[in-house]
Amino acid sequence: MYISAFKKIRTITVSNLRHNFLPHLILSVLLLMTPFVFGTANVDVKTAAIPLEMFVSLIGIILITPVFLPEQQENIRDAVESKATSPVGVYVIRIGISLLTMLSLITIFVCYLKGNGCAVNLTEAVYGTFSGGVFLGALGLLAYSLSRVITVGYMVPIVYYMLNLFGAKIFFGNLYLFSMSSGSMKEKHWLFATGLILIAFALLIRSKAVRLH
Amino acid sequence: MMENRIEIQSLTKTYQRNHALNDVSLSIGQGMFGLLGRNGAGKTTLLKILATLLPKNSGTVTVCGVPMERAKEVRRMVGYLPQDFSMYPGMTVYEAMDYLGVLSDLDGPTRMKRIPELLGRVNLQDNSKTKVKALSGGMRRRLGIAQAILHDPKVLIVDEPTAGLDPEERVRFRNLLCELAENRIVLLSTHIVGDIEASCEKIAILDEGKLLFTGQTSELIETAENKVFTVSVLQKDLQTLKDNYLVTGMHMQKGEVLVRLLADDTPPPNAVLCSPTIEDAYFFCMHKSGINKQLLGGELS
Amino acid sequence: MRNTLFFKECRQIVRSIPFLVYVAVLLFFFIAQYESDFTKVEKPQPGQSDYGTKISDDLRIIEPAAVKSFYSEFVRNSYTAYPVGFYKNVKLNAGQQREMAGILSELTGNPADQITDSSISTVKSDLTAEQFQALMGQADKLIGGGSLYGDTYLSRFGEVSKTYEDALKDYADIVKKDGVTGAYARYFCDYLGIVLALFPVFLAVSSGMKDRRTGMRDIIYSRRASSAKIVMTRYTAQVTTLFLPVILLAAYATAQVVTEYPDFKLQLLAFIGYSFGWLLPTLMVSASVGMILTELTDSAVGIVVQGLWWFLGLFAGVAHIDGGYGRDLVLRHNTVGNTQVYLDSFITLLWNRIAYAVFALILVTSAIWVYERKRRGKWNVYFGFQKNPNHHRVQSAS
Repeated sequence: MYISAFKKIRTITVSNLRHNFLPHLILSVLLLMTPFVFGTANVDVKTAAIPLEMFVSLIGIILITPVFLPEQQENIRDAVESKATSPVGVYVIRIGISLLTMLSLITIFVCYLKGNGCAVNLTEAVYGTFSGGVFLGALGLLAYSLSRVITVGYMVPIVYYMLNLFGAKIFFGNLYLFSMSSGSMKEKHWLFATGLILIAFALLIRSKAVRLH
Repeated sequence: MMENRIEIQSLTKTYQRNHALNDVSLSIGQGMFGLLGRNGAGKTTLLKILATLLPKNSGTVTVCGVPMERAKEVRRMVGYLPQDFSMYPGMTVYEAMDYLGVLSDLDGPTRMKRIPELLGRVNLQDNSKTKVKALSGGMRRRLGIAQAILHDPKVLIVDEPTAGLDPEERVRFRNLLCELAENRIVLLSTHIVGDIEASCEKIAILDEGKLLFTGQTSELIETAENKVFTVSVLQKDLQTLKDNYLVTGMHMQKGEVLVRLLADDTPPPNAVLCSPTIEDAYFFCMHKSGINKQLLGGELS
Repeated sequence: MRNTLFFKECRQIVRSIPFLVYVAVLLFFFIAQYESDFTKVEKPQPGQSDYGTKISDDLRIIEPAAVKSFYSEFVRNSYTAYPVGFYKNVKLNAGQQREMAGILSELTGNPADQITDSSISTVKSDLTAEQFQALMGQADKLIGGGSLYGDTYLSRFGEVSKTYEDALKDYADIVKKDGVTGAYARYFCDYLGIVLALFPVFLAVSSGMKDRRTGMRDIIYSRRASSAKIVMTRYTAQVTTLFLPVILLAAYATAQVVTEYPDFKLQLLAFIGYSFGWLLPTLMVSASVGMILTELTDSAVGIVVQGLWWFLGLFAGVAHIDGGYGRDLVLRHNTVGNTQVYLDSFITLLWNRIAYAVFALILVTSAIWVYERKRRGKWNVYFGFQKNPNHHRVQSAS
């Protein structure tokens, strides 16, 4: 009578992909189909990093920030979270879907750059862009879990991005978003690790938020 | 054999220094149990605690012998229909049932057998491919009941299930709940006295987080024995009546107003004694607990 | 008056998190970008080593510099372009390179097959201005636009050092034509415009989705107020509350200039005037895009659309970062001064601002229309248009 763990994860994954994830995926793909604005042909490593850091990593906001959004109406949340399966488990599956999708899209884009004659190191470029995306998305996810207003969820990472764009690099230290275009990868490790920690915090708040009201 | 009971001892829940529930103790056995009270009385808070959606601040709660702290076990035994149930709008009725069935740890064969059965039972068998966003309020409510019993829980918790339904739907819902109560605990929260009247043998009355009454409905009615009267007055005397008695109903009758009221001591002149209804007894109980009669009016909200 | 719909909306907005974040970002831009760069414009003195640079339209300066750059890029087959403000490197195919060689040949008078020679060619003496412009235009088109030889960037080859007289004239323009404050006001608007092109959309989206989020929609729909009143009041409340901090900063900035220039005849209303004319249309557009897209889709997609417009516009605006304006939503003028550029492009600026303000009002009108249809049940976000309202409310099954 009871479902196996594997089948459960598979069914939850497929269901969420079909019903909750598709619009965000389409939006991310559309966003990435605008490389014409950037120099994506025959550029060096640092120049290639510009579209990756400044543009591609933004899909982290689109894919990660709305992970809790399907349950924004309390009645839906109550129906789903009163079941035997822990809601956090479902959120983890969704985050996994988002991260894998992000990784895939970034890899495709970097391969496109490489195919266009850009001098990019595949692993570094993918990792560097992915870290930025994870961090920005995690900021948004945490902001949403605290405020329960999706606009705030999108606003916070965009504000952080803007401050990085217009503020002095020195303010952000190891969490500066655009280090790859000046040849430094150290910040990417910080962004990635901090992003994962923020996601964990968001999950913790969300699981408690069910009880906070 | 473990008895099907919900035991609640000294349950307290606070929100920002307000007691949503204040030292509530209840024992709920098999059958229909009604939870009655005004909006903001604490009914939904109590139900959500039983559904493991909210933590308690103090007290003990056991569901069929299992303490609340073992949340996963409790959730397997409890089916919950929230107020104004809904699901992801893009899912069809069948998909929503299937997804919630998976979350309830039911395997494929069980779901394939039970879902059509339950959709038939709630008269949604022709809507299995309809999307949730296209369902009317009553249909969504029926889907809600179906998903709440999908995993055959011992306890069914329903929060205001008939609010906003038309009379036919309301009657059908009550009948369905009565059928379900034959071999499980059904805890029904409502502010519509008619729901209680039709189906509950035992009730509890909550107000501002406190338990005002718990027991058989017949016991509640007895408390208002010899307290309920009807009297005919002129329109101009209505306000005086309202100032001195608890008016529970009135209607115009050939220029005069026929008033139904509660009188603890001396009834008004020419008043006729009546048999109390649950509604009368409910008002009486609330009034005795110190709630200003102006707040009680003719409605419970 | 305090209980009117307008004031209620304003109160709701100023208490919201998005508004607080907006004010914080606005303050950041004002302090970190505008105020930190604030320096007094001093009267130039004769004998200074550097008076800055200016763009000369003297073809005798532009042509040789442009041809030299063109030749160098041709030989490497590596052409710089900024089609939307982002750097792009363009490589041409053999056929296109042959055409480029032809253009260079016409510019220099040397045969096309000798263009690959290492000798740097000079511009032929009988080349007219029209021929030069036309050839540069052809080259720009071959590269795909946004190159150094197109209309946007060609003039930069005319960069020369300013003389004392040039610097004195610029100073005089700032003092007399701008009344000093005008010059600073444009710089103020340059930075704040960046914020106002984006942040209003967050408030508009948040506000638009709030009714749905709090379950208030049906209650509000059933009220007596007309859709036009509800939507216009909301929009006006958003624009007013968002614009208020801008006006306060404008007043502060005015006071700042007054204290720095105590003996000058200043245009005291310049900051306020520029805020209304320069910044308000940007704010209006951002808010209206958020409003219409939220009404249409009941989602936050307005943020993505406006975000993309803002993002692309930000970098495209680099092309006329010191003035020039064009069709940009965010008007850039990242320098104190350049008064003549402002005056020369004033008509462009005026039409730009009017067009955007009108566009914003068209979007708001559309939002009213969609709102009304939704209210009557004739527009279901999930189904699109419906001829029969509430057709999905089937009878309860017996």
